[in-house]
Formats: sequence, structure tokens, C-alpha cells
Amino acid sequence: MTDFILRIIDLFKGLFRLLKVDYKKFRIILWAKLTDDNRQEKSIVQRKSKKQMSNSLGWIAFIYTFLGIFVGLMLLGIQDLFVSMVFVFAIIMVMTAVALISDFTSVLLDTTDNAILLPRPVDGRTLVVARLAHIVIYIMLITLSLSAVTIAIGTFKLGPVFTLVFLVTLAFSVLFVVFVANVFYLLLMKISGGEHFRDIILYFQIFMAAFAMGSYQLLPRLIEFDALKNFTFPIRWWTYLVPPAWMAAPVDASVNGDLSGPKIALSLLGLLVPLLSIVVVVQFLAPGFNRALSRMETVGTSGKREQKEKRERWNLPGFISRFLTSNPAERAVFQLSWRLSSRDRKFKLKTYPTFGYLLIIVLVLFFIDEGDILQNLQSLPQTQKYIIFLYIGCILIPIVVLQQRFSDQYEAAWIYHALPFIKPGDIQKASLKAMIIKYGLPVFTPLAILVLLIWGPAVIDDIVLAFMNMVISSLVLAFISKSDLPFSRRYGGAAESQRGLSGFLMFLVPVFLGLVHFGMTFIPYAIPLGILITAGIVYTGMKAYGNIGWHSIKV
Amino acid sequence: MKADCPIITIKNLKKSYDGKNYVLRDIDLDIFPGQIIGYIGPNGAGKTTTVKILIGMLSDFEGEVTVFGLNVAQSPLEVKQRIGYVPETAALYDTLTPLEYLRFIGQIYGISREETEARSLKMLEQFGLKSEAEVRMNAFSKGMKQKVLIIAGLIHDPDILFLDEPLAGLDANTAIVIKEILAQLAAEGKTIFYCSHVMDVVERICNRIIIIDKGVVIANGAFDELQAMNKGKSLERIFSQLTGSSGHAEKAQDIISAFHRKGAE
Repeated sequence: MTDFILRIIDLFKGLFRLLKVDYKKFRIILWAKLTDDNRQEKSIVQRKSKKQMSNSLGWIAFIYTFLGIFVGLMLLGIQDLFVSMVFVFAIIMVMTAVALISDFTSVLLDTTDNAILLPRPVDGRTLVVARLAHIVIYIMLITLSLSAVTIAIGTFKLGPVFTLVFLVTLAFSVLFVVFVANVFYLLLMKISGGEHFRDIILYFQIFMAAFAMGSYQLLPRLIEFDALKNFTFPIRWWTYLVPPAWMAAPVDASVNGDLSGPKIALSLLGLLVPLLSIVVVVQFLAPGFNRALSRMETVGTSGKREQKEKRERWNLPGFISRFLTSNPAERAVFQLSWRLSSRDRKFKLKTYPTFGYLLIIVLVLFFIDEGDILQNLQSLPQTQKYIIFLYIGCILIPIVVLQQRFSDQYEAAWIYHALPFIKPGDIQKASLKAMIIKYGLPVFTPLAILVLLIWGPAVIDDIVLAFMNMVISSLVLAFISKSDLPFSRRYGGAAESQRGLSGFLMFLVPVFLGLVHFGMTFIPYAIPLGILITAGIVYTGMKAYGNIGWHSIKV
Repeated sequence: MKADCPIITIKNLKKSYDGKNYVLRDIDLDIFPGQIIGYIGPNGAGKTTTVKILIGMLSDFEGEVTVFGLNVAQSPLEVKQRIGYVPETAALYDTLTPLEYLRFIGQIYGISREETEARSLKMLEQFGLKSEAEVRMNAFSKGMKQKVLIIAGLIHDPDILFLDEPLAGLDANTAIVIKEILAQLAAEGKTIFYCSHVMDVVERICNRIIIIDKGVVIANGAFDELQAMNKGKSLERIFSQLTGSSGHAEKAQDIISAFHRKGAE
């Protein structure tokens, strides 16, 4: 794949030379970057599972081609070609920008190869263009995969002219997206002063993950497809400010022969703005970006120090651990897990979006029934939907429990083996408690309050039972992964890809417990009895979990 | 370049990362061909910053730095073409094999593939890595990666070699070979700029020692000159004296008492 990509790039050798790029060096740098990506055990995109797949590019292409089916349907569902193309380009450009910002941030911000390349005789422009080309290759791959179905449908429906013009406009739209992303990053660096840049990006990623899930759930409910079918898009002054319209115009103009003034003007914008923007990126933004990046690295360290001092004044995990742990070792691990989970970016990236989903799911629960939302809300107390609300939290916490095994600094877990812990169960139990309190409670409490407000005090016992079941769900998952100590496994390693049973049970256990709970609501006194039984299970389970011996631990 | 003409000239060099605090202040140095410079200083003294400026990695500094008579801020590419750098950390694409990585580096310097391969294989063999030449480096130990970095620093036959803790992670035999290589390169007229914390190595292999502290050069001369000026026996003692770090025994006692159990004294 790398060779194939490089051969395609060779076709534009002249263009690169025109940009005063040392093509020979540019090519070899790009080769090294692509080869390195392709051989990384973990793919460039934050993929969740992977079984020694050497060709990560193929995997990215597959995912986005699948997503592209929905994009392609626009072409079939909407009569007017201009309108359908505006939608297609809007989706492609937004998804590409999101992918660029959420999945490729690490690539964009990666300065690790600076130490390899900066001492060598490579000029700044070649380096910048190589870095941009590296990203554009992935972005191109994403856009091509996303539009594969559209291209297939379009070629079949509208002929080869469509294919040709569409591909060219697609390339221009990518250039424009790269420009937008660069502006976005520079603005963010300016606003954040560099110090909290990575945190802001992280929260953006989390927001986008939740937004994607929300759109998937809500949009089909909000859009009236029948109306869209015969929708037309009259060109007004503001149309000239909509980039997808610039890209849609040349496709419509060439396929339908619409050479009206507005279409030509839009097409010209589609051609000139991306070209101009890429010159701006190469000449001005990218060098500024690199400067801002290196500045950010230096400033970032002092910023973190201030943050640390502030945090140390109020030792919340220390305070809580006093009540929930039985010995100093357990107390230390409780605090360690609490802090590590707050500071490990990948942990946050993998778990926090789930909390965003939660909000979406709650919204969906209100929207799920046809009819008036207010009416639905008023009729809620007559339903038993509180079970669903309460068990949403039960689904989320096992995800955290499973995730707390992984860390980028997994090697630091040697400390558990070097310190005099009699049994690793102490370590695991303390970490589990920290996860339940830190992530389970903040999710469960607002849900419980919501349930209490809507259904009244009659459901207090249900809330208690659901909480017990949340702890039981976490315990089940904790037992399944009992061979791993907290933050001791590598992301992308075998442990993460071979979740199998645990990944399945992560959802099944809370759902099963929720169903049992639902059934119990029909039996008199079953809920209080259930609380007693589950309390017994939690007590025994925690005790057994704390007794796990060293022989169970995988080193 | 004549032996009496400096190969590196540093005049009034200042560097600040935040515009307020200076990590380097008014450094003035002349370095001559064939010298093995031991550049030492406490943590955070400004050693790495100096090296990064000299090799053209940092360009926003105050003062004037010329290497081979070229202004390093204005002509970094020409300078980089003729210098070699071995960083402290194993900064390499470790999913590549040593041969692939060295080919990559060779191409950057404009050396032909055949020539790069011939030089690489010969050096890999000497460093005991020939059988691993086509094995991906992500399974390599720190020492093995360090050997590849050293080869990458030498492959284009540089006139000045900058080394930042080059012996870290190397076994004793390889360390001896490296020291021998440095001595022989210096005898050929090449200049070595050697940053390290290992004082006895610096003392033994460097013919000129520069001590930097808080961004200022506080000592500069041959080892015997430093000995004469500071009445110290070993470089370690001289270093401690000059960097104001004294009372080591008391410090050690304080540390021990900090972790000793109560009643154990």
C-alpha cells in the first residue's frame, strides 16, 4: 500500500517541485512515516481491537466505506442533483474534518520525529509539506472510502462525467478541510495559550464522539425524508458562503449542463478557495503551527506544575479513601487509581465519550415515542421506564472497570510487584472502589435524582437495588479481568483486542440484572428482599475479590 | 579548515524559551578542529539547548553562532550536511529495521543506496548487529538502539560529531570501542562535542572540558588546567566545587535520616 501511495504521489512530482520542495527527501520522509504507521501494532486511528493486522490502512478504508453507504443513499433519495451534492459534500467535509481533528490529532501534534529529522539537512518547507502530505494521505483515504458508494451510484446513474468531476472536487474539498483544521488548531492554541490545548482537544474529541452517536440516534427522527426528496436549493447570497455548495456546483454544472452565472461563480469558488487555502497553509499556517507546537511544549510543563499545586490543596481521593479502605496499602492504590484515571488522556478518551452517550440516551428515551414530548413527559410516571434510567449507569461503569487495566505507562505497574503487597486483591479491590466512586456515583446520582423527581419516593428501594446491581455488574467484570492489575496493560495489545467474553458481558450483565429487577417490580416485597440479597452478594464478592492471590496475576 | 581556525564560534549566545528566563546567557566559545570537547553541567544547565542551537535545531536565539564559518541560523542545511548528532533518547522509527533506517538516513544526506548499505552493513557487523540488520528495532534493547543511533550519526562521515550521553545503555566492550572511535576520529582532525554526566569518561577522553552552570560557562580548559586552577584531583571534585554543590556527605546523611525509621538512629 505504501509503495502504491508513493507512486501516485510521484505523479505530482512537478507540483511539489513548484512549491520548492526537495522531492527526493520529501519522498523518503513520507516513506518512513507511512512504513512506521503501517507497522505500528496499534493503528493510526484509535481503533479498539486488532489482531496483528499489519495493514491498518485497509481497516480504515473498510470502516469509512461502510459509513459511506449512508452518504451514497443521498444520491438516490434526493431528486435534485445540486441539493444531493450539497448534502454529500457537507457530510464528507464535516466527517473528514472531525476525523482530522479527533483521530489525527496525535499525528498532527506528534513531534517525536523532530529529534530524527531536525538535525538532518532537510529544509523546513520540505518537512512541513511531508507532514501535511502524511495527513492528507489518510484524509484522502477517508474521503475516498466515504464516497466510494456515492461514486459507484453516481457513475451508474449519471455516467463517467460525474465520476471525473466528483473526484476532482473531492480532492479540492480535502485541501479546504486541511486548511480549516489548521485554522482551528491555530485558533485553539491562541485561545488556550498552549497550556490546555491538549485538554481542549480531548474534550472536543469526547464531544464529537457523543455528537456522532446523538446524530445517529436523533437525526432520523428529526428529518422528514419525504420533504427532502423534492427539496430544491435556491441560490441566495449566503449560498456563496457554504463550502459544500462550492463543491456541489461543478458536479451539477457538468452533469446537467447548467452553466448559469451562479453555478459558475460557485464552481470558481470551489476551485480557487481550496487552492488559495493550501498555499496559505504551506506558506504561512504550517510554519506557524510548528512554532506554536514547540512553544506549547515548553509552556505546557510550567502550566502543569501550577495545576498540580492547586489540586494538592484539596485531597478528595485521600478523604474518601479513609472511609472506604481498610489498610494503608489499599488507601494508596485507591488514590493512585483515582488520580491516574483523571490524568491519563487515553483513559479519558476511551471512557468519557460514554458519559456523553449517556446524555444522548436519556434524550432519546424522551423522544422515542411518537407524539408530543410534553405529553410523553407527563405520562412517564405511569411507566416503569425508571428501570432503564437507573440501569444506564450500570452499563457505563463496567466499561470503566474494563478500561482501568490499560495505560500508556503500563510499564510503571512493576511497582505493584516490587512493593510488599501480600495479595494483589488489595490492589484490585482498591482500584475497583475508586472507579465505582469516581465514575459510577457521578453517573448514578443524577439519574437517581431524576428518577426520584419524576416517580417520587416510592421508587427509593428500586434506586438502592439498582445501585447494588451496578456494583455487582462491576464486580463480575472485575472478576473476569482479575488477572490484570490496574493500569498494567498496554493499549492496543493483546489484552485490549481479545476482550471477547468481557466485552460481551459488559452489556449483558447489567441488562440481565435490569430485566430481573423489572420482573421483581411485579412481586410484592421482592425489591427489599432483592436489596438484602444483593447486599450479601456485594459483601461476599468484594471480600473474594480482595483475596485474589498472586498466582492469578498475569505478568 | 585550518587547525588554528575555530570550527565553531559562539558569540554572546543567549536563549530564552519564554522571553523572561534565560537558559543560556552570554556564552562565548571557540572550538577548534580535532578537539574532543567534554561539555558538562548539572541538570538544566543549558547543555542540550546549546547542542540544539549548534546543530541547527533551534534557530530563535540571540547572539551569533558559526559552524564551519557558516552562520548556523542562516545556513542550517549546509551545517547539518556536515555534522553528525547522536541524541540521548532513542529517537528513531523503531518499526523499521536497522538497515531500512540507515538507508533512510543515508538518502537524507544524499548518499547512494549502495554506498549507504555497504557502510551500514560494515558498521552493523562491527557493532555486533549484523544478524539483526533486517529485524525491526521495536524489539531491540536500549543499547542496541543506541548502536544504531551512533551508526546513523557517523554514516555520512561528518566533520563534527555531537554526542549526548552516547554511552548510556551500552555494554562495557562497546563503550570502549566508542571511546576508541572518538579518539581516532579526533586524531583525523574531526571535532567531537561530547555531553555527559559521566565525569570519569569525560576526564579520560576529552582534551578540553567546558563546564556550564545556569546558562553560563564557568570553566573552560584542558583537564590539567582545570586541576591547576581549582586544586581538585578528579573532574568530579572540580565539578562539585565549581557548581557550588558541596557538603555531599551531609546531604547524604540528611536523606538517610529522612527515610530511617524512628528509633533506628
